[in-house]
Amino acid sequence: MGIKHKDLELELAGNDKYFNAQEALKCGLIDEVI
Amino acid sequence: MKNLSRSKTSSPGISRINCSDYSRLNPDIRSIRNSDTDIYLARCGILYLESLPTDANGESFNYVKHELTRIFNTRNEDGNSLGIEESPIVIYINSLGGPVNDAIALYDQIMYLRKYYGLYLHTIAQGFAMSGGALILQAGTKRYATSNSILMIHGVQAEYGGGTLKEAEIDLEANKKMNANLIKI
Repeated sequence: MGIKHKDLELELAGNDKYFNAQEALKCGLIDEVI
Repeated sequence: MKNLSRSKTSSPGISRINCSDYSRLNPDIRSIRNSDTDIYLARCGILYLESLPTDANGESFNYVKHELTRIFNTRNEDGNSLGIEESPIVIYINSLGGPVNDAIALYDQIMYLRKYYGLYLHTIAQGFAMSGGALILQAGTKRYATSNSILMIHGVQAEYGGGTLKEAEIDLEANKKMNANLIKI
């Protein structure tokens, strides 16, 4: 699901993975924090 | 804001059309969202995907899917031009998730309209965008999150019970395929 940052690479194996806005931006889950 | 192809005078989530016409409200909306404010916002191309843990039947996803389709198909009526680059439809997401099939249906509907009809749609995470909510966030032409929002992703969750072992195995196989699809998104 758009995970780009190596430190936060994730396989959707069932565990919940939380991101704040900046982490989501870094991982490519969003385009911009507003 | 970077990479914004919109007018400098506009901001994410604010549609610049005239929303003053209350005269033709869709009665079907009232059965789902009994709020004049929701109806007003929908007419402006602003949709809220807000679900609670009790939203076990995916009402929020279905509401947004139906409203999105209605808005897009009735654009150019009343002089509106929603869903184009200058006036994108906006979905605000504050959702804990819901049934994966309803989330996938909404995601695919958005991607279908984007691919074949050039829909411009912005998604904005506010508060929580979790599970199916995070999935819908990925469908936006532009994806935003407010500074204090939280996103959560995970794999497909399922319970198996009440059937034969063979039925559980079949369900497991279906969920594996669904999970594989989600990973590709």
